[in-house]
Amino acid sequence: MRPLLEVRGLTKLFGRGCEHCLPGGVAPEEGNRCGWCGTVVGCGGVSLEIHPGDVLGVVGESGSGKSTLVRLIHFEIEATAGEIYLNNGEETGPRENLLQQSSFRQRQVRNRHMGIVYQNPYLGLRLSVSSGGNIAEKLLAAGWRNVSRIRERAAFLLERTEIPIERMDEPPANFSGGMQQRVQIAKALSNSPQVLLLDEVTTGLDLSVQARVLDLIRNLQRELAIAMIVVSHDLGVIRLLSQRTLVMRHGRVVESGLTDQILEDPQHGYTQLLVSSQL
Amino acid sequence: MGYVAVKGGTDAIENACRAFQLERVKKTSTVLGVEQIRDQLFFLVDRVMGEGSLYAPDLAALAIRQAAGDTLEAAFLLRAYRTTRPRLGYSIPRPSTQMRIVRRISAAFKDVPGGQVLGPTNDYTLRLLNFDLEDSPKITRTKLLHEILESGGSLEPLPDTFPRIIDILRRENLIATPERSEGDGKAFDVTRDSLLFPAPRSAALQAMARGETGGLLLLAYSNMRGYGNIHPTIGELRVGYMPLCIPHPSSGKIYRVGEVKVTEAEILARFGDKTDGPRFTVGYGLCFGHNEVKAISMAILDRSIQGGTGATPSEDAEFVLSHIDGIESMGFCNHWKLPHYVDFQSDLDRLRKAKEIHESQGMDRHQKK
Amino acid sequence: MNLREWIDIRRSNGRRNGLDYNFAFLDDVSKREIRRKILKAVAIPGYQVPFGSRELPIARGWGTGGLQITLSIVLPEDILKVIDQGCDGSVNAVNIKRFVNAVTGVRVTTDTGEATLVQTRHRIPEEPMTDRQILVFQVPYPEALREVEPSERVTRRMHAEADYSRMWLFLYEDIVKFDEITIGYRYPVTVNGRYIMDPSPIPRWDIPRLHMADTLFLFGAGREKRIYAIPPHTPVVPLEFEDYRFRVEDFKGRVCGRCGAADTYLDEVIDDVSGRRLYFCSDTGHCDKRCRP
Repeated sequence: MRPLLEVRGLTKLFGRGCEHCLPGGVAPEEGNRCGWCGTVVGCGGVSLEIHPGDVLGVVGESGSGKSTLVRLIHFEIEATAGEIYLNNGEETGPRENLLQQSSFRQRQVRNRHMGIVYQNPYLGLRLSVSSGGNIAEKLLAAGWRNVSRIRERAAFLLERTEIPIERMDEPPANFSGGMQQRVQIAKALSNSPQVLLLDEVTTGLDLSVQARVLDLIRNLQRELAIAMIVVSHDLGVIRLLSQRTLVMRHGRVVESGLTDQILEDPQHGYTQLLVSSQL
Repeated sequence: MGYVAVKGGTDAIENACRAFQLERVKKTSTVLGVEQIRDQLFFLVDRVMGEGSLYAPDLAALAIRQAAGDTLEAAFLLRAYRTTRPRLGYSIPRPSTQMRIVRRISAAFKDVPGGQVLGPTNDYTLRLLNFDLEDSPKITRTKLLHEILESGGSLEPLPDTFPRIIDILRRENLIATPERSEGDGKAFDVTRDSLLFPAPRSAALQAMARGETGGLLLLAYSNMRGYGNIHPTIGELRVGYMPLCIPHPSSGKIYRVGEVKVTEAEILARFGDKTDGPRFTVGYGLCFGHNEVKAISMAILDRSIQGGTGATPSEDAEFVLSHIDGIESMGFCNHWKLPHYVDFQSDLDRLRKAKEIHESQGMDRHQKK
Repeated sequence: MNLREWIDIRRSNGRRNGLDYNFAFLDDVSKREIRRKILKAVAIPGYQVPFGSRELPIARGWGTGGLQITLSIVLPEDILKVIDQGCDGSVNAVNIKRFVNAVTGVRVTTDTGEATLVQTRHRIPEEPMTDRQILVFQVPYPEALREVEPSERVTRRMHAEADYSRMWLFLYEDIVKFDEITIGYRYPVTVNGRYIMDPSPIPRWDIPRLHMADTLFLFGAGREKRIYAIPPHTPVVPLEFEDYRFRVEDFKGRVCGRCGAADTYLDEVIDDVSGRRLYFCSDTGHCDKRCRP
């Protein structure tokens, strides 16, 4: 069975690149900056597969490339090399490498099949537009043209994300941090996407608020059986949400496998360091 | 009834035009001669030529008189006239080392090859209004020349050419190489093609050369004050006459057909960290006539839109180039005086409808209680 | 100098002073470019074609876009009508009419039926136009998306990718705030099912006239340097929701105080003396015709 999302050799270089640092050149131990040409490897030859309902965790410290990875999959930044395939149900026939498609096609795919939640609500929301309006934007992009039905759907999603419906017409600029994150989640789910990308969504929130948001995400995931990629530097978050995990360092994947195994028996030196310092 | 008459509109317009002309001649003072404006209000003439984008001092003086001194209107008159002139061709670019110098200074160095030639400038005057009636021009000329000659200092002739400071710095590898833009190296012509963004540098420079002095100054000033980070030093400011050279239409041989007075400014900005090492970056400004504020502002904006992130207005090429044309901005500002009652009627309808809804909702809420 | 003096000089000095203007003022190179851009605009309904807008003796913001289109397509046998806010006698219309007449010698009229070429500012004539006529619109803001995005670079991309969700979001927010779409003039429309277009500041009243019309509609924005077009028989649909439909202005059953028409767009005027509101047809040519026995 074809995976829902397949990524092969995804690479992002910031700089000219040279024969020393192009994929396969710079080893992770040396850091992510090529000593020859100064190019920074934001993401170096990352591959992954997700099936419907999977939750994949991506863990690493800042600068590890995990946010870059998510931005690349969301077509926000242009990849230097690699392939991305999104399976929309067809088991056979040719697949299109989305990285080679027009920005129009990428935007189409992104709107229809993906949702994203950012650490900073300023990135994911229009703070001066009503929270219902924020949710409506994706529906409008998909061609919904009935205000009552749009509001019904928005109200439904706000309810599921535990936001009082009376605040539907208020802009999220007035909301607390935790509530803004929940609006982001509602917005990301508005079009019933197949893949949800979560980029450090609880980082910076109070612990109790974090717990609530994580609980919500976990329940929604179970209920909707939605595939997710969860990016975090916090192993606790990874352990709570994901079945499998990638460990990233200097733009490369240094270890991957079942979350439980990685946390209990880390093989790579860096993973061992991470686990011992956090858990 | 007033502004929009079903009948009589034509008469009203014609009388309005006549009344405007009357304003200029209704008092008893002598009518201004075009030569007087051209010779004595030269900064005004130069400014209007630059903004009108037509080098023609006599016509600029005429336009200034016709527009009763309104620089935007005078520039507009020149532009409209320019449109009717047939396009004969493009002149050949010449390096400004060929400029016949009137004034040439550098703030970057205390002294420079060729010297700091102050030339005719009011930079150092005390701004005290002079109420004395002037002597006749002949007497004033004689007196001033006498004073200059008697004041001492050398009477050496100026060198024929002055090396450009930027060229000297470039030879020492201190100036960043400019980014080569795509295309065949031909200059963009904003009067023939529509400007789209990102705009090639030649288009940006041309748009600014035609730009309104106050607008350019506003944006450059914002950058200097901190809405931007150019921190300029004037590498060189030149005022003088550039040769006008055109190719013969059939033989292609290049002929010098005259000269054009221009002001040129080159500013040095703090170094960027491009891959070829730390260098100064250069901003360039050039305009018709003697207009230093415009040339300097232009140079600062040239640098800021090239290097900027677009975080502030002066660093945003689209913002700068869309708003500096005086004829466009003046025209649009004035257009608000045209009747807009149909548009307004539509707005009134919307407002009244929205009020109705608002009030009925208010009543509903009231009733529910 | 006023227009009369300018015309006299042209006639008397003619070639001697180089004041011999081309027919319709614009030189041939300019006309050719503008015509080419018009053709491109007609081939892509609703798409804004950039063009090298020329300067004219009339100020930017005062109709130079519409004027350049008119001057590029006018022929000596054309009969020209120019209106502003529906009125033939308005200052702007009169000035433009005089200019075109001076540089072409074409006959002018206030009768829509008689005209072959109509240049308009902010209204469509009440009388249905035919396939023998062309309507040229003066456009201040060619960009329908400017309301949600100030950058030209970004709006061009939005049009290229049909990425219009922000415009729809703007309408949705309007409904949330006021339970109505509050846009009056410049109501955005979708042309030929593809581009969102700004119809120029015509009232909502005139929007339905754009849909599947017999007449060619040309739009010129001189200052912003864009030309666009709606060819005949093109679907033009205002942006609306299924449950919040597009509505024209409501005159609440009032009629024109001059000709009695109940089906035209009315100007509201405040009476000098009593302070009462009076209502008259905005389309004065049409009103005149109705008044004539």
